[in-house]
Order: sequence, then C-alpha cells, then structure tokens
Amino acid sequence: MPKRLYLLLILVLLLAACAGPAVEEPPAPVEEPEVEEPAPVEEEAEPAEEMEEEEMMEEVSMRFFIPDGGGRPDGYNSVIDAYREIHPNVTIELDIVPFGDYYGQLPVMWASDNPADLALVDSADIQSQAYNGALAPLDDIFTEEDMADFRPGVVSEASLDGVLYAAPFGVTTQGVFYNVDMFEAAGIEPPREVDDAWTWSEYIENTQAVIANEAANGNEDVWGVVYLTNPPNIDMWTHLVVRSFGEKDSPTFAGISPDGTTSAGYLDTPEAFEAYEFWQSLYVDLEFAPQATVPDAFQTNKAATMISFAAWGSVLDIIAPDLNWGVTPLPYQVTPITQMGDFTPVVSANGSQVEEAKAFMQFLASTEGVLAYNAATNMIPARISVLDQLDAFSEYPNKIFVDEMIAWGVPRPETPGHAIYNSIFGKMMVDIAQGADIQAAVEAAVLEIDAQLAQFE
Amino acid sequence: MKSAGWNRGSVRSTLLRALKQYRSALVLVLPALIGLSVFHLWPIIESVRVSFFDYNLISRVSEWEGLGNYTFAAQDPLFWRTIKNTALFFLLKVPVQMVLALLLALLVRVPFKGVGFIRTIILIPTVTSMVVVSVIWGLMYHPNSGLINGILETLSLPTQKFLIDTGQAMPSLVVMTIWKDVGFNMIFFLAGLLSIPGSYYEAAMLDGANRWQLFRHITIPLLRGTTVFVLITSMISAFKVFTPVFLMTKGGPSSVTRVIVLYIYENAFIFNKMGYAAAISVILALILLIASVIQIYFRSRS
Repeated sequence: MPKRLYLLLILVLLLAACAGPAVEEPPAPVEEPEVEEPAPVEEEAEPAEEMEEEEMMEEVSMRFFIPDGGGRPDGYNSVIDAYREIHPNVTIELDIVPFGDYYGQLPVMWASDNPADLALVDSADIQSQAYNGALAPLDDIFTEEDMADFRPGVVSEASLDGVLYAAPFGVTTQGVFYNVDMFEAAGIEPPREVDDAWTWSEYIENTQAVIANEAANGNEDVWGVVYLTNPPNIDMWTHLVVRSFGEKDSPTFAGISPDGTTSAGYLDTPEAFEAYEFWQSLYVDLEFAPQATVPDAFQTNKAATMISFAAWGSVLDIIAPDLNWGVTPLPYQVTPITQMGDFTPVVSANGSQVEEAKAFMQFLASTEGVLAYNAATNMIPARISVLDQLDAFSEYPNKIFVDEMIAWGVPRPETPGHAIYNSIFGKMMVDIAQGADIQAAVEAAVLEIDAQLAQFE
Repeated sequence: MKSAGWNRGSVRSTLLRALKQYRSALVLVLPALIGLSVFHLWPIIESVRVSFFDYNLISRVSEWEGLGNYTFAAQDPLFWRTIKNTALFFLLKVPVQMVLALLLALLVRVPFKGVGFIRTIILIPTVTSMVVVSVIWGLMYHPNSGLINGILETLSLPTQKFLIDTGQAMPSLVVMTIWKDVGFNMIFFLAGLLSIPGSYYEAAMLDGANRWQLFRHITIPLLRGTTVFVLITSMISAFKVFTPVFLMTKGGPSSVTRVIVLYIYENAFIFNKMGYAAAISVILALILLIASVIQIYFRSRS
C-alpha cells in the first residue's frame, strides 16, 4: 500500500501546488469602447429573439446577482415568471445577497471564473464597472424608439463613451418622509407639490417647531431628521445638499469635472464650503440630526422626519404599519435637486451566456417586463410611456417622487471612478458632521479623490 | 568519486530510514500540509507576485510594474499615516494588555475558591466573535444612547463622544480590544508561571527574599521566553487589526483610526488597485518579520 499511497498523495500535493494562480492573464485586455459613433442604435432591434429556434429551445440556465431588500426579489421573480411563459426553456435563478454584503461581494463575483450572467449594479457605478470590462454593451438590443422612450438621465448614467452598458429600467428619487401626527399637532402642513418645496431654512424652522411642540407634550429627544445611517456616508444623500447650494450650471452643482477625473474646483468652491458649514451646523450647532445612527428612530417617533428613497413608503407600511407618515419634496438652497439612480440590471461580459442574458434583458426593460415588475413591487419606471400607465404614480405620495424626477432629476456626478469618489466624499461628509475642521477635511478629500481618479485620465 | 558515491548512498539510506521511521507521521500531517500549501503558502507567493504588477481585479488585466508599487508606497502620505496610526494602536494596546494579562495570570495562578469561575469570566471575551464584540461595544459607545454615557450621566459626569471624537476614537478602540484579548495573553503567562519550579521560590525564601524580590529575580527572568512570545504574537495581532476598525469607525473620524489593513482593503476592493494592496501587504509582512527577528535575537542574547 504505502508506495502507491505515497505516490498518490504526492501527486495530489503537486497538483495543488501547480493549481492555476488566482491572477491569470486576462482573456482579452480591456479596450476603450468605440466612441466614433455615439450610442450606435440599430434601426431595427436584432435581439436574441432572432436566434435560431432550435437554439432557443435548448435548456438555458442563468444566474442573476441581486442585493436583497427594496422588494427586488419579488419584482425580479415576477419578471422571470412572465419571461418563462414565453421561454419555458429558460431558468433564471436569483443569487440574493444580503444588502450589507453586496458591495463587497460584487467585485469578487466579477473577478471569479464563473461570474453571474446578470447582475444589478448601482447606477452610479455602471461606468466604473464598464470601464473595467465587466459589462457587456447593450446597444444592439434596443431600438431608436426604445432609446427615445427611456428617461435621458438614466441613459446617461448607464452609458460610457456613448455605449449603453445597462438596461434603463427603474429610477428612484429622494423625499422627506414626515410624521403626520407630529406635524398636525404642531399645526404645520408641509407642502405636497414640488413647486411649493421648502428651502432648507424653512424646513428646519418648521421641523424645529414640531420638535419644540413634542418636547412641550413630554416627547423629549426627538431628532429633526434621520437617514438610514447617520450621518449618511454615501453621496446619494449628502451630495444633493451640497449641489443644491450652487446654480444649475455651476461647478458646485456638477460636483466633478466633465471628464470625471477632477474634484478640485468642484468640491471646494465657496458655495460648496457654505454647504459644508450648513451640513455641520445641522449636527453640531443645531443638534438637528444625530451624529451616530439611532436605530429605527423615525418608526419609533424619535425623529420628526426622515430623508429616504421612493420605495421607503412601502417598507414603512410593512415595518411600522401604525405609523402615520406623509411625504414632502426635498428642501433646497439655491437649486432644487433630486439625484436619480437605482440598482440597474446589467449583463456580464465574461458570462457564458451573454446572448441569452441580453435576450432576457431586452424583455426586462420592455413595457411588459416593467409592468410585470410593478405588479409585485412599486418602482418608478425609466420608460416614460410606461409611467403614464401606472396609476400609483399619479397620486400622492408617489407623485411627489415622479414630479421631482421630471422637474429636478439629475444623475449623481458621473465618473468611472464613482466608487472611489463616493467612498472618500462620503467619509468627508461624516467627518464634517462629526465636527471636523471643514477646511482641512475638504482639502484632504479633494487631494485623495484627485490622486485616485488620476488612473482614469 | 568513490567518496562521493559513498556519501550519496549514505544520505539516501538515511533518508529512506527516516522516511520508513516517520511514514505514519508523514501520512498524518500530509492533509494539513496540503491545506497549508494551498490556503497559506500559495496565497503568500501570489501576493508577492501580484505586488510587482498593476493588477485590476475586475478586468484581470495585469501589467508589469516592477518596483513601482513599492516606490509609490514610499511616497504615499496616506500609507505612512496608516503605518503611524497602526503603530500608535500597537503602542497604546500591547504594553497595557501584557501588564494586565500578567497581573491576571498572577491572580488566578493560586488555587482558591472560585478561581475557575474567574478564569472563565476572563476568557469569555477571548472566545467571543470579534464581529459581535465590535457591534456591542459600538452600541455601548453611542454618544446619545450608549450604555457608557448612560452610566456617566447617572454619576453626573460629562458624557463623551468616544468613536466620533478624533482624540477619543483610537483609545476607545484600544480599550475594547484589550478587554477582548487580555484573556488570551493571560493563558500564556499562566502556563509560564506554572512551569516555574516551586523549589526556586522556596530556596529564595529561605535566603530571606521578599515577595517583590521573588517576582523581580525569579518570576520575571523565567518568564522572559513567554514574554517575548506574547509580545511577538500581540504585535502581529495589533498590526493586523481590521474588524473592529471596519465595523466601528471605518477609519474615521478624520482618518485617525485608518490602520494599515483597512488601507489595504480600500486599495484592493474600493480603489481597485490590487497590485498596490499586495505591495503594502508584503511591506507589512516584512515589518513584522524584522520586528520579530529583532525580538528573538535580543531574547537569545540575554
């Protein structure tokens, strides 16, 4: 026995040692996408629908990587069911990742030898993922009519150098959720139309009156505003405050250079510093918002308002069914703004079934696909024509989010290094909220952002 | 030639004899060796290799950089800042932790009623998950609703900001990690104390030595080996700190708790600079290796 066993074990050891390195030569280098023909949209869509019939009838099994929450699993399962009615040979399994693990697992998923065929990517990160070669171009699955029907800001975020890399599917915007009972008790009625939106000072003044009224009635320690995490550390929540301090075409409003590689001159303008001082005053001087997360503050009557995304209402109905909540448009300083964005479906460039995945993507972003999703979960569709068919968005409170999107909606600052920008900017805003020296914090952040974004020049 | 042939034959027969003698042991350790090779040795070799490349995790494009990542680290102020923060964490934590661990070991060395219970209490944090401990201590440190500020308020003392204050964040992390790790160090000191023969103390007492002299001239010298071991392992552990920082401060406020491993994580998974992250990992490993060799050298000299 021994000799053969030893030989076998030695062989196993050698094989293990000789196993392919984690880092291999890439199958193909990332190339700059074609830019000569911006958004090369085909006259007629030639999607995978035209694949050979026999090929279509082969059993196809795909994986779809999505973060949990926001009603996404229900929504996408609803679309998959509708797709399988037309293509019974196609099976799509959702890889549902806990939201907290999603951002860490996504790059590892892309780097694996067997990436998911489809995935959801935060719309602001699409350009970054496309730049790194993770995403398949989707220009060829949408017609000119389709492209004209998609909301322009969503298409812009989903494109890099004129090439579309994600299916314009849904949009989310932000609003102020308020405790109706508290505001009624104080005799204050927040605006319900975007044209009547409060400025930041009006919003703070009114909310402070609510807090004072609550304190007078024995409900002490009520915060003026909370976010999902406090202070918020992502630009979805923080940057809209800063951008609002600038004029519409100003560097402050843009937040980054047109080529997406420079923040100096955009994050350190006099208007931006004014915004940072305002932001710090909310946390330090006024003690209007908590400097560390207070779990469930809004749901437990410990916060008068909460700034959150459109789908938060559906979440509140489940987690706090007795809470009497309302929505008012986002406050503004100089320019009203809401930042559009959502988890957006993409096709993996390195997946084994790119064409099949694109065929599903085409269905997903179609009128039928969007309606199937909305049958399960409310989502503001990126398709303008479908929005008109959904009654839920023509009524309060959802109408506020739609009106904001139409009147004020812009994408977050567009850069292929958005994850880097977001991470550093988010930390800077947390530091400012926690009382850091504003000048030093901004200088350090701008320096670090620009040093990191230099890799995309 | 004859001599060489004789030597070769001798070596061969010695090896065969050793193989025969230890073959059962070899078979038993082989699975562990395979695991060690695949999950430890190979990644270390790969990290060194990747550190010479500009490697993109997502696209997998890797371009030869030579020593570029290392020279960049030498000029990167953030790298030096994270080294400084990590060294501060080590200096604040390890000496206090070692002294406390030794005192606790001295306390529980002598058998008395309830010593088992006290040992268990001291060891509970050690066996608790760092993630759980970090989350709970994060809640305890909460500036508005945390347990510690609640106690301070009850005692009419001023409340503190702990993790959100630039001056308090690092000490707050240090206190939590000492509480978590002191039991682990205590075990080694306890083992060291129990291995000192009682006859040494008896002889010294007969010569009239007092308690302090016993401790100073017998306990401390005979614990030197244990102390060096604890110092090396604690230093490595302190330089590798990540979980409590990631969960409790994310390196803030104002980067005062941004330690080296967090910076490696940021470069690898946020800044998408895997080659640079690997280079910093190699530098960190070299720093720890050199520090360990120095400590072992001084121990052997003394």
